[in-house]
Amino acid sequence: MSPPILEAHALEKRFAVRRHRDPRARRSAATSVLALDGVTLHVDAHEIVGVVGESGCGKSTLARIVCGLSTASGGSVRYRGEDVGSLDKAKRLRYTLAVQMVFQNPFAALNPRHRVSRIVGEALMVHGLVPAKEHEACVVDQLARVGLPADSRDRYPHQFSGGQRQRIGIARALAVNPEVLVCDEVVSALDVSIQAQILNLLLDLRASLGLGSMFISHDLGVIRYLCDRIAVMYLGRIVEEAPARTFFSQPAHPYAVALLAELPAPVAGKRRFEPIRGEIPSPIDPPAGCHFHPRCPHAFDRCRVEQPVLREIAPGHRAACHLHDRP
Amino acid sequence: MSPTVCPDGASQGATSEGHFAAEAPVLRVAALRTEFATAAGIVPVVDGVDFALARGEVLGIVGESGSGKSVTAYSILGLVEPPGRVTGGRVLLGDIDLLALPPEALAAIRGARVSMVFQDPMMSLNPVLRVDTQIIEALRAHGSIGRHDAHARAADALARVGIAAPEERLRSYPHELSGGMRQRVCIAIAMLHQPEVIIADEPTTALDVTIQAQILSEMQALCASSGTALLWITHDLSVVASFADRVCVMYAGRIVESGPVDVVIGAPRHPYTRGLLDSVPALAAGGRRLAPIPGMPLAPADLDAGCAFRHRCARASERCALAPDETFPAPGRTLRCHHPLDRAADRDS
Repeated sequence: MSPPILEAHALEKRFAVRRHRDPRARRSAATSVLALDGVTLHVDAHEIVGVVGESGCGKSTLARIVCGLSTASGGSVRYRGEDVGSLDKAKRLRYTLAVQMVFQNPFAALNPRHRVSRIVGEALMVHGLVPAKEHEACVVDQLARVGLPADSRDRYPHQFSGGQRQRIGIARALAVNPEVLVCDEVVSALDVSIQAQILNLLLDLRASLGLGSMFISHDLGVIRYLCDRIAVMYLGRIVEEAPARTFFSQPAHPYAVALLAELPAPVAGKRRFEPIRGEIPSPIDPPAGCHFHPRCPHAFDRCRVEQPVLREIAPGHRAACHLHDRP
Repeated sequence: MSPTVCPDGASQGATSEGHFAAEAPVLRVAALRTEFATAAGIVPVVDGVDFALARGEVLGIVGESGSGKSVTAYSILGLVEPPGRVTGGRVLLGDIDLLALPPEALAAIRGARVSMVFQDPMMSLNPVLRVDTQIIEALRAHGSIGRHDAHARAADALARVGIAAPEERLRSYPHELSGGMRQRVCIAIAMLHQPEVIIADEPTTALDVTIQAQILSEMQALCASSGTALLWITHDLSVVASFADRVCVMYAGRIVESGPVDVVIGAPRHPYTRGLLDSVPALAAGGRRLAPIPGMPLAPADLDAGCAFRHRCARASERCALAPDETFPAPGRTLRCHHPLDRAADRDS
């Protein structure tokens, strides 16, 4: 079996805590936060992998590291089986172009002083990917792929709506013919009707280009619609990973179960909320043992002292929970 | 649980109307019109909005950005600032018209009889004042109260919205609290004077799903126990479905469809409501492709006299160049459409 296109292997990321800045840190002896704690995840061609979790669980940090926008403190990012830290210059460039990111906020991700032709075409020019005289045509092709008219290229970002700007962001990522798109909350700033248009666009792009994607979202409804495989993160760790069908029918980790139970659905008659208690603990001072135990309805003594490891509980289905630890 | 829960969720017509028909509504909004002066001229952002809110009822107002849902809320409490101006209609709290009141009289009602919870608690709490200062200020704004009593009531208010260790939290500054905690403080302040109506403008949008579920369940319990009516403004149809008794769907400043939530969501008649439901990914599970509404809403300045949705509507005809009148297809339901979807149309067809 050939190695996956993009793989995060035992990734760790530590951020220094600025004690005088953060009131939560004053009460703690910690000097750093472990934002990612041994995260292993891969993306194949043609596959959309969903990463779901609440604010502060490390999902955006993961996205930035696999794209090369931030460096890991431990572990490695592998492109086609090779550690990207040890690639030579040519291979490094190939990786950089192969993994492209689409950002959350389409208002902040586009330079307001550049025309769309430059936003979409700049990477083509810098890397000399197309001859100069084909440059304009290539930009128009990219815009057509995402459903924008050719005359958009002479306009500025402020002349577009949020959904159209997100399309420009996707066109920019597609311009260099990537193999993997890393999408960080790309639809959460959009209205539902526009959000649905973008989700369908992402599905079309996969079908036509065979792109793999890492799709990061807090919205399980979106994840369910789009993704083939799902990883749930909680305080820097992956607590469950499963094929989408398995995940939505038989979630294994109590946190995943709770998230699914709280997914408000536009189904008339569902009138009860059974929220899990408490809030996400501060990552500066995470609970010992299983990070989820203070909020877990099934926690027992072992959860408070021993950190559960992510292990396979069924083919392709991994969970980090002592409840599934039986031999 | 709210008093109008329909246990099996079946759609049997006007479920909530039955309970409240005998009682006069606590809040009635009639023909509300709010305009904004822009470079392109005077633009109506809220254009003839009518609804009524009964005691203890949860009314959801759903719409996308720019539909006028927040401006509707602001208009009710006289919070619209220039270049915006409320130019018509009535907002009746009991038999008082809030739009006709002088500013001081309105200020006496705001926060006491009708209060508001905003989307971003970081913006609505003062960052340089402790939580106790802010709660006690709100208490004293509507009546004199001694220091010890005020402190006790403040602690009690926090405890009621599910904040653990309220005494400790009273001494905190807003930045020391999490987003969910801050929103709870705002809700506690809104509930201080047992208002008749709380207007909540996307209060859970900025929160994580687990925290959103906690806040929804607490709001549901609080309103059921105190009889406070709740006007819940949101872009999220799924929150409304599981929470509200009735729902108004807004598009371009008008209510295009309203009725009991089970009926509107179970059998929408307006093509826009149908399109919104078809855009929600959670409903499309099972490999079905989302059917998004094509195009995007027109800017308010580009609207004409006709149906504002007709440019995106598959059912539009020449008739739609004239604005549809409000019709009442069933008790407690309203609809503005020349070509409504068939009553019996099944969502799977």
